[in-house]
Amino acid sequence: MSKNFILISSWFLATLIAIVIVGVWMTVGGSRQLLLVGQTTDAHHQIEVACETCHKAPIFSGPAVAVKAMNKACRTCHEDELAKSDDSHPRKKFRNPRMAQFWDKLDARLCTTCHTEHRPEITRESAVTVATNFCIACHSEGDQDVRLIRTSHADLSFDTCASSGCHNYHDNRVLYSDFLVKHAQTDWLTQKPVHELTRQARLTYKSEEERLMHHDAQAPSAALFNPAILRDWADSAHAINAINCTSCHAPAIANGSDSAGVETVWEDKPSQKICADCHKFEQNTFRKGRHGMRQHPKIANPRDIDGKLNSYGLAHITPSFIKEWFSDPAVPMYMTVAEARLPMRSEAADLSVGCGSCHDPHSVNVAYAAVDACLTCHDDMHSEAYRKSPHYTLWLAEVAGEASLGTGVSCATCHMAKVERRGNLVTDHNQNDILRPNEKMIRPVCLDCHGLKFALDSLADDELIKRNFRGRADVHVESIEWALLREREKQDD
Amino acid sequence: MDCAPEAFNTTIEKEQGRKQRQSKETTGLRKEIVFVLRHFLGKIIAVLVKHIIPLMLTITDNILLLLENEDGIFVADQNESINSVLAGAVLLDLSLSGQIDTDLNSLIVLDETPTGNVLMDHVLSEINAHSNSADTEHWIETLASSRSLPIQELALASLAQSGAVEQKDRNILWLFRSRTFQTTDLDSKEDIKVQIKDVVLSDNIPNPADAAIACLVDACGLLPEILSDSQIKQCQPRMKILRRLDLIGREVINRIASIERRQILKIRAQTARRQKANFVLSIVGCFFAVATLLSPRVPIPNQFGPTLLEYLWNDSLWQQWTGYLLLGFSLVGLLIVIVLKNRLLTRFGNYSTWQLTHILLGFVCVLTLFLHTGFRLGANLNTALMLFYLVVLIAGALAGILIGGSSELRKWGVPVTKKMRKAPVKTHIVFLLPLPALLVVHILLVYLY
Repeated sequence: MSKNFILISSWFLATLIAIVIVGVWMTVGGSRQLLLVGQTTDAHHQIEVACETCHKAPIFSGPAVAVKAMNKACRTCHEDELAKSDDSHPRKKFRNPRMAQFWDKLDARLCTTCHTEHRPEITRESAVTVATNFCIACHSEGDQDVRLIRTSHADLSFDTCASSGCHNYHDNRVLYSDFLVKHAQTDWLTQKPVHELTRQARLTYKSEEERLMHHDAQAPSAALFNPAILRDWADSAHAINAINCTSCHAPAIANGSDSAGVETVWEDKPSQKICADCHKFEQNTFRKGRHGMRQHPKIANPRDIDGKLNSYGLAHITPSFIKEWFSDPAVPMYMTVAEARLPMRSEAADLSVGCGSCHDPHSVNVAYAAVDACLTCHDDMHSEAYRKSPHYTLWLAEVAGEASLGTGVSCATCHMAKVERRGNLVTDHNQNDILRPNEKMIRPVCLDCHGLKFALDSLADDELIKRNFRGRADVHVESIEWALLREREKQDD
Repeated sequence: MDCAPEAFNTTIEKEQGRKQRQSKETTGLRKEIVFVLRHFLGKIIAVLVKHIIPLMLTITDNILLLLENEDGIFVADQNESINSVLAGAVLLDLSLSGQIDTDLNSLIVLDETPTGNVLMDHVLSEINAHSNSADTEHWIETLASSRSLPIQELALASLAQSGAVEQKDRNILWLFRSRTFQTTDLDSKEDIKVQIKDVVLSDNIPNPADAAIACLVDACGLLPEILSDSQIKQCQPRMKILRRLDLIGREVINRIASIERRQILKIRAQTARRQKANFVLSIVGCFFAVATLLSPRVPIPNQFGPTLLEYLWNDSLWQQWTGYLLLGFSLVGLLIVIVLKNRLLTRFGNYSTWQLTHILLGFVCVLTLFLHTGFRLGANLNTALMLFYLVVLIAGALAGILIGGSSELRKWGVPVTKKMRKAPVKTHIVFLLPLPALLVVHILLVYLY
């Protein structure tokens, strides 16, 4: 054999092996992060190792099937959110054949038309990947031409529709005309600036008769010798609500299913599942936000390498290291602070986000969870400016007992609003639910204390947001004036 | 003590088996010793033979060795000029060996006995088979253009026969058969040059063969490769004398000179022009390839609606078109190298034409790469593909600059050595190797996800 033949054969073999390895990664199993064609958006980067969460179609499907499956995957996770937002451009509207004229311009039946993954270059706010003036596709012609049907819009360009605080594509719950007109005359501050649900939530403790005291604690004697923990618990909402030590550390004893001694079933560090047994809503909402999205139930499981090998009859002859190499990495249960894309404190890099990260399990200090826990990690300008903001002053007054309940504004007040659910007041742990577009925050949070006009202007001013609302907005959103003008025009007609 | 016959037989068989094994082991060892001795003795004998018995090279062999270019190719082009020189050289060889004689009007065969040289014998039989007498010019033209008697191939076979080169046959991609020749003695070419220098620069009376070789070298414009400009000027009077010497090959040389000199000069000028084009094209290509690596991406406009940039870098169909176009150009470029290196299609253009086409394709690839990527380097494996491809393009362009611009660079005081020329070519090839795998992955990613 000539030297050339050996060289060419070696190269050919190496090329073939490389292609086969990548082919196996693609079709059978193995980490595929090297194959990513572009950075994943902030929304999905935590779950990017679970490709099948979005790429649901079988690997050799045609493009139509793949796109359809991918859009179905979008809806699987985001449909509830869209339904709740009273979506202004719901999919069903565009599936109507009468809307066919718009399909070629901007196919609004598909989420992927405007939200394409792995395209960082064209990914704008809210993971939008079409040009900012995309409204022009449908609202610049015929009876949909807003420049004709709204006199106030006659001279406007389309690149500010969704960026000036006037409109959102999906969620316009505070941006429709009637609402704007209804709240047009409100002052910047309401007469009673209290977040009512928060106030009510802080009143819903049980009576002193029902609460547990130090001597009620059920725990192994070794655990009872920790006076600090015992004190924290006795002062906590858990003790007030008659939640004993065994409820978390030995649930089998607490619910009576196990009659053995506490010592035998005692768990020093109960899992998050124990919290979820009682706080289901909190857990469900936590898994929808960025803090807990890695626990979202719709995330695809790693591909079953053993099953595939079994189907080819290769399971018993494949060495374990090969199986390991060609096994999909599982999505870790918790996100670490270091993985976050927002500015975070370097000393918090190794922390992860679970229930215990914000809530001390014994003191269950919600005041700590509402502010200090957030600022342990977050290091962006908005977070940094909080302690200098008027909201923080109010919060300090409330915590000190110098102001009424519900008057303080913590991080959680705005980002993890209280909601009423089946007669109970609970905290929505999806801190992203009302974050973007930020007008989503107006109804459940801002309007409790502020007028609509003030809230719209404040949320449209990026610099004011960075200062954490210290001062007044330099930006003015004209929506309310235009809504009133339109109202007058209607009356004149 | 008596043994049973079966047991006795078994003992004998065992003993025989042992002896056979011993014998086999001894034979195997002997074979190895013989092989090793033969291998080393063969080498020693070859070295001794080389020094004791010098190569017996004909004039044709000498000319052919001088025609070898930097890539080890003896006759790069299938052209009339080179063929005429070779035809003249073989007639000179026949004449010097007393097989033929020439006068002003005819060329006649004196001795029909085969010489043992494959080329000379073919030519001799061709002349012998011709019933009508014809002059030397006619035979030069006939031999140079004859399709039944491929003079270049026969000349190379003759050179191989002399032992100056080694013939190597191989298959390319299981489709093409290629035959290449490799010089066995690297000094032989230098020896010939020294010999020619000796003839043209000294006042000694040369032997007829040396004089003929010197004149043929001059006739086919190879003197600049042997002598410096000043030496060429200095030897002009001597060359005139050599041409005027009433030697046996004067007739042939004059005719070759009259037929071919103009053509050869034309080809040399054409080659020089192409080398210049290679140089310029490579510089521009290199600039664009480096720009692709370093320039910030051209942004996709944030304007809704069809724009060219939007189509180019955000439209799947256009991306596929530019991508496959790039792949096509790259493959054609690669195919040209295979053709060029293995002399597969020499009838469809000469070496410099194919070389220029290769460089032109490289330049087109750089431009198509811009259309495909807009200076984007991609992510992960796509970045690897892009970087490897860019290194291939840049190294190729550098090779083009050094090869095509060697004379220009020499003028600017940058001597281009063979080592300098080979470095970018090697990089060009080495970085090409991972591209097929990366490309397959790139295409699979587009269609599978």
